[in-house]
Amino acid sequence: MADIRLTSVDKVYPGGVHAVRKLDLAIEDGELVVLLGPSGCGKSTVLRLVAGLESLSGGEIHIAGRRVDSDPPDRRDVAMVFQSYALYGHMTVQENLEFPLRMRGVPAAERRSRAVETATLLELTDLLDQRPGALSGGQQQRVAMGRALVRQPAAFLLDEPLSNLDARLRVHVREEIRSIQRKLGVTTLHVTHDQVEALSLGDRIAVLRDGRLQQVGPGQELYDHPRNTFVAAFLGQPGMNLLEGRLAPEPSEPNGEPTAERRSAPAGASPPSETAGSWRVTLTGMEGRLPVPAYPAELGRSATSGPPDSVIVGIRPEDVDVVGAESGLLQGTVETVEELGSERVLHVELPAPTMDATREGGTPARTLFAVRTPRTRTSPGPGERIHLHPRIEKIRVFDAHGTAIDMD
Amino acid sequence: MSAGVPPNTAPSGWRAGSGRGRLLTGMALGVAGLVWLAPVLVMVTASLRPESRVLTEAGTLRGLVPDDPTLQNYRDVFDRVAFARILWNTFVINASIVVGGLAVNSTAAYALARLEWPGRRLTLAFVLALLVVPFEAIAVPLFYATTVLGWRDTYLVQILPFVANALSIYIFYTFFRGLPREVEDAARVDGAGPWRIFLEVVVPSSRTVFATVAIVTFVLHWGLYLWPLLVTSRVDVRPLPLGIATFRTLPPIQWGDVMAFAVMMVAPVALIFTILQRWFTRSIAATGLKG
Amino acid sequence: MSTGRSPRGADIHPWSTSLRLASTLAGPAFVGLGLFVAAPFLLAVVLSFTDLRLGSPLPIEWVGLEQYRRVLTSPTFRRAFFNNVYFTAVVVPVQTALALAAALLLDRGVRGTALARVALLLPVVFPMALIAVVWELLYAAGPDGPLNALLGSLTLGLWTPRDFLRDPALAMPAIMVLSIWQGMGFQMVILSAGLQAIPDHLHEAAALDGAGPWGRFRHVTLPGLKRPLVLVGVVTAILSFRLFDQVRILTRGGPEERTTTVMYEAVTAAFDRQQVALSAAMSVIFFLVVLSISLVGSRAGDSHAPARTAEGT
Repeated sequence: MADIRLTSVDKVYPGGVHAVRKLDLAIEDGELVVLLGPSGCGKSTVLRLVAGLESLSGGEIHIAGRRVDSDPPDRRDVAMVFQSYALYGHMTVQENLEFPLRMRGVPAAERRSRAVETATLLELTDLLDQRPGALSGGQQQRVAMGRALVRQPAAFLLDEPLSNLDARLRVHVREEIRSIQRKLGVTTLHVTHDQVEALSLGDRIAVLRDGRLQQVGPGQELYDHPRNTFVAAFLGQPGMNLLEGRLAPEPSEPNGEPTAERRSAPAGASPPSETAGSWRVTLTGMEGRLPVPAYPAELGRSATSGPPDSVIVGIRPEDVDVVGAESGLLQGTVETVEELGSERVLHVELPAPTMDATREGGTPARTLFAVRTPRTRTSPGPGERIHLHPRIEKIRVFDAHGTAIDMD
Repeated sequence: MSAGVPPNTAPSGWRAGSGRGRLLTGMALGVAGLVWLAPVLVMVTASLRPESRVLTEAGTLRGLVPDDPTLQNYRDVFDRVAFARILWNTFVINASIVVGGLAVNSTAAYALARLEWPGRRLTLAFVLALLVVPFEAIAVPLFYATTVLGWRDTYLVQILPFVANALSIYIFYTFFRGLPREVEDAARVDGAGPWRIFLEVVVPSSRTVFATVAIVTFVLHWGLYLWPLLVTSRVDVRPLPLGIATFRTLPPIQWGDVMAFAVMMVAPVALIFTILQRWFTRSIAATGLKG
Repeated sequence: MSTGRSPRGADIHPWSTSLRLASTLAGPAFVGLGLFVAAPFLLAVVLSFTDLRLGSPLPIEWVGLEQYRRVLTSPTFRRAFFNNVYFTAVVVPVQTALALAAALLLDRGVRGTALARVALLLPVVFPMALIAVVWELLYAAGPDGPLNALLGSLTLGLWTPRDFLRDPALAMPAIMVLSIWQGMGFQMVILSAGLQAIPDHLHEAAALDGAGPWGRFRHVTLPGLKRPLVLVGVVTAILSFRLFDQVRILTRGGPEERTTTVMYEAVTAAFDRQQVALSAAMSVIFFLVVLSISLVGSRAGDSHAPARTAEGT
């Protein structure tokens, strides 16, 4: 059992591709950290660097306090489960499980008993004489897990281990990984592009984009307090709605939307908004202004004297209510309705474009404003014009570069 | 195995055709097969016929059915030449070429396909360039060099020039490049060193390509005639192709004996070929389509 | 190169950076190729500019292009070159056509296909020396020679027995026939594989569009076979220029130099007449011919599949 520490890790491939940039990440002893990001973000490379399958271009990696970055994989005492499972096709399940032990010179009798022990844990005992080709995807996945477990390594590295399973099985195996990891208390680094997997598995989640660490922390914290628009939009299904606007102090005399003000008051009655005065965002291309819950004091100081700041406002689809015309802060037209069984997602076209922060570079194509609503008989259909009221206390504000400014 | 129609030739869709078309196809194939087999049949029947009747009957239809067969010609072969020795020579030389070739060329291909080392690309280019050099183009200087070095009449001089082979390396190389890399990565994480990975992971998952290269190497080399002609003068190191060519000129010329020699020479290979026909076919096709 | 987007294929095992491991793995083959292919080839080039004769006590001298001049002005060598061209010009198209016909017949999958394939493919594994000896019997002169006898009975006695291998007009065709008999199976297998690779739905689509058997052959089968056809053509052309074994055993270049070939001349010059330098010059010329056939062939093949060269490097 051991912790893994990555310090300022860099990886540049011979072709010039900069896969990982100045990555600092610590996985504590017994912790399960999920590396989450879109494909090509460098998360698998991080795993391969930790395993020793790739050499570092810069930085250091420590496992259990020992610097390992010039050690070959077999000296790092880590086990890895691969996306394709990477089983040895010509060996039986038993031989697959024994292979890592055999490579380490474990005596035959002990190899046998440990392989059987592991097989029992993973309910593989009936399959020990089979070859991987004869197994189902789920069974192959367990063999791959078993081959990693059998060695009792200092750390586990899981590279998208669930992506080749069908949806139902994925949930099941996910639970299994979680419970085995808890039971054994083994330090685990788990790579995935699936946020549900990340949220349900990880003690902490590290979001990676273009080789850069975006944010690391418990899943709920990332969801509620995304540090930037990428994390905000990447997490959630659909992700956070992002609207451009300008932040300005509320004129001393309340005017405009008194109803909205009153509605937001109970939950968002944080002391700053009372003492320092209210702030509002004028959304680009839209009439009216949106009250925002909190703001850092230093921003308020600079903004009072200067011109209004350009900001991005983030609203989660579930934090919006469909309301009557009189209390609506936003209005738009329903384009499509997505049925999710217990609820619906309305995709609404607003007068101003919604940003897509997960897209690479350039201005993205028009994205629709998503609203999660409970499934009621009266919920609006396509083409309908509706009024929306975001829950003010849940609104997040980011600066023009996408960095959160409403965090304290 | 060879009797059944291989599944990949099962008729499907357009190939099914009409009953009459299929009948004609079958007949055409039958005629073609017979025509192609005729020289082989002549060889076999002539080998079983008394010497005096070989020529008078070989070309007649009746001659295709050997009445009164005799094994005298076969006995004559053993009396007149050291057939067993020649057969043994062929076996030693070709087994060495095949086994040595598999070892040397597969490891080289693995180094080219999976390791990064200074000069890898240059070496690969060198191997690819040598693909176009036919042995005939270098036979004469090689003959000169071995003669000057006094290196004639040995097994080694008939083996070594053919062990390292650019075509074999190329076949192995393309195959190894196509293997899933993650399995080798897994073995590394599991603690295997490069040699163990190669021997315990790569080789077992490459059995088909090893079989292909073995078959291709054997087919391309066991009939070699030019090189043994140049570098051997003693019968105790000569292989079968040269053996039959010289036996034929050994007076008195006895066609029955020559055909008996031919049958004994080719029967084992023909038998193995017939049994493993699908393997041969696949190997030739695989090599041909890649090369 | 690799399938994924990530450049993973480029980075390799850290231990593999050691040149020592690579040279252990690749060393034997590399040394073998260098010693037995590259070095002799360079030796051939060097020797071709000298006047070396095997066993001659005279010191070796550089003679520049003299050997090439001698080779290219020699009527025998010209005859040999012509014979090679003649052989290639007949064997390549005939053998390819036969192989294509056989492959198409086999592709229909009628009963007995496997047997027919064995029969047609059997000669491929036969050594040429053995084939030459068997066909020498078939070609035997006089009315009792098997082929003469067969032709006699087929023509009801109209056929005048010939001595195939000693008849200036028939010797080369006789060599061609046995060469085709031996080589056809190889081409057939490659074309068969090519036919299998043409998806059935292309034929079905063409049939739905109203194409008859001939139309499907012309517009689906032939285009789909372009690469294998080019390949077998090139390989057969190269093999044709390497023609030696059958000539050495059956005719020794005769009669009247009608069956001599470039390789035959090169070998007899060195082996029978000790003219190593002259022979080396012929070897170099031979190599240049083979090389140009390969280049023309690979260009024809690659215009169809340009990815192949990229993959190699």
